[in-house]
Amino acid sequence: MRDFVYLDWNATAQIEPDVTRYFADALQRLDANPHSQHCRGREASVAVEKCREQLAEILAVRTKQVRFTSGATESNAWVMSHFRDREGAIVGSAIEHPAVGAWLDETLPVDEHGVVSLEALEIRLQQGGVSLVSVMAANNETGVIQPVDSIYALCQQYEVPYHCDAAQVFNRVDWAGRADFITLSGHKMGAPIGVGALVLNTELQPLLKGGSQERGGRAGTVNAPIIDTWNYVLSQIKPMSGERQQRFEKQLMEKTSAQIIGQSANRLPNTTLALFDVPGDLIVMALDMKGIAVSTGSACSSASSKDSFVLEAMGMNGKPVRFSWGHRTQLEQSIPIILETIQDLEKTCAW
Amino acid sequence: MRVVAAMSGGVDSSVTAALLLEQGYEVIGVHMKLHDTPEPGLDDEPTKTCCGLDDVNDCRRVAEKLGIPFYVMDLRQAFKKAVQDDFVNNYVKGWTPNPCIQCNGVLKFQVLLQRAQALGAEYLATGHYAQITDDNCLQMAIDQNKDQSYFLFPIRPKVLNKILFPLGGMTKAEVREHAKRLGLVTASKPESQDICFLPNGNHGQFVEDNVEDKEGAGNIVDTDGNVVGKHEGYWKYTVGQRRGLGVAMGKPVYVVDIDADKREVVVGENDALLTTGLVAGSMNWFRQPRENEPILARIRHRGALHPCTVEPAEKEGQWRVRFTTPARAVAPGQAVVIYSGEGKADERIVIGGGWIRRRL
Repeated sequence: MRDFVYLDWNATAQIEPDVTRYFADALQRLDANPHSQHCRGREASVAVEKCREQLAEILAVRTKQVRFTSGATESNAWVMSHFRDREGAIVGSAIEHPAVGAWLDETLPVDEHGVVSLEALEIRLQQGGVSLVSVMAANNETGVIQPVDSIYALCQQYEVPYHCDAAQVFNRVDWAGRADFITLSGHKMGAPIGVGALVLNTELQPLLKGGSQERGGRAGTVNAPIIDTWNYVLSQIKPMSGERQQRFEKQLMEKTSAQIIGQSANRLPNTTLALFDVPGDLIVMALDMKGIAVSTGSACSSASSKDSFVLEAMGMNGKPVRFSWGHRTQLEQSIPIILETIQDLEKTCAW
Repeated sequence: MRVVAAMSGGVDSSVTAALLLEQGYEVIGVHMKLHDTPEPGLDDEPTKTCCGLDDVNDCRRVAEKLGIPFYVMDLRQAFKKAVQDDFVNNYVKGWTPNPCIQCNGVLKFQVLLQRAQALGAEYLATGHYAQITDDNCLQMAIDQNKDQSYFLFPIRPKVLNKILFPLGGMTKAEVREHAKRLGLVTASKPESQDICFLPNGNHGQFVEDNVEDKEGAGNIVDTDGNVVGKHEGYWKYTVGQRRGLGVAMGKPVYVVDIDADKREVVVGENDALLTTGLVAGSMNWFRQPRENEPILARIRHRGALHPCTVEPAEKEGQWRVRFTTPARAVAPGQAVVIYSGEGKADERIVIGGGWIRRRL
């Protein structure tokens, strides 16, 4: 594989070399079932509990509130499948990730900046009959940060549980949101794909039956090596400054037809979603041929790049391009190639 | 030199990409996502259409084997507008559409070509069996059994020199040999046959699902106007159709006409299907017939080549085609493609084509 610049961190973060080494070692070191009585089992169990402690500390909750899963989609499904079987509607924002969106009975509108409407939420809560509210911490496409504290306050006022999918915020901003249920994802912050957690305030019906793992909530052998590697990554996460984003967006707007989505909103400092006069999927292909990996919005539809439903919810349409990066990404070096590629396309796409 | 190779997931387009790579081109594979037809279930028969999820995965494997970039282009909106809506509108008019030609004309050789050029490609290549001669003429394929020149008439003349058909000079057997030699996963894949967005081949259902006025039922009448039966939707019928009419007239009868206004399906004997000519619209001329040049009309894929004459019709852009001897089952909505009668019988040149609007 030739050198390439990876600007698709919101799809999955790149694994840093030290994490790869740590993971390889953990696979050897923790090759036991954490529920086994023998010393190898105990070592694996301790590794798992250390990660649980660190997550509890980061989120200011008790360790027993943290349950490991295979990832954010599973965590979301755990909460959603519980409330699907209860009276009342599951209500969430119109820009939830499909792993939540697929479960929603009703959606709440967002404004033109991509922020969920608190007024609409309050009106809906007043009407009653809501079993669960689900609004993400930050949108995966736009990077727009949602008013989680205000949402939680409203939900508490109306005594409706609140779930927050916080897959995208860690290792990007210092996030101290609170909710009754919080979804976490390992691979979005730099751990290998295949680990996540659900933080809960009250017990839910089990997601997977057949074992006592995760306090009976999620049967299946606990994956100690990956959880231990996540723990290693968690010890390094930190907020990112917004300077690179500002410089990048300034140049995009000066040199291309870029319209930055959600520009005036409070956004993740690692995410730039932009619409150009050229279809976004063409930009993705042209940049890929030059060794720069970006995407059109979300990577979640099977084989294709659907028009973004997030943009649609914001009253816009088109095929945008999402640039998203990590702490060590060589964003600056790729900017001249990005600008040149888009400028070239804008010249040839006069149709 | 950069080439975009359209890859459907079949053996033809896989070999197309591979051969171009061998010829030294820089090849970019592109698969067009055109519609959301549901994938067959685990226990369903495999469909005879192309462009499903399995086909995309086959494309990826071929591209990976060849070491070329590969992209899926989402062209569903354009396809819906240019092909699927047009398909429904044709049937509503009582016509018999040809969505594959429409897709070639708009999706492949306009939209995809533009996108290929935007990506810096000099050429767009497809796995069609047809040839483009050195002097930029569209010519039949060497393999007469596979010739697809009929499907390519809407290509704009000025873009012929931007298109490559690497398979036009080969037989299907040679193409499969190449696929085997190259070890492509698609080497023994069966041919796709049906219309890609109709995996069960049921066009009547598709029309019904997509038409606003769902009232299509009416009478089946004979050529004298006598009611001989009932039907549940005139758009389920095609001129020339014999099976499934549900009328017993003591002799073989065929659909000879469809009157959308009256919602009538007209049936008659074989002779009633013979017509002396037709009027075609939206003609695309690569060049107009030369004086005294013998010309031949083809009114269906791999159908007979009928000696004919052409002249402009009264309405702007329409042309009248008169057959020397009557042709059978001319269906409005299908294409008429005009070949030059000069030269060898298996090296015919397409000089133009258009959409059949009515019989004479």
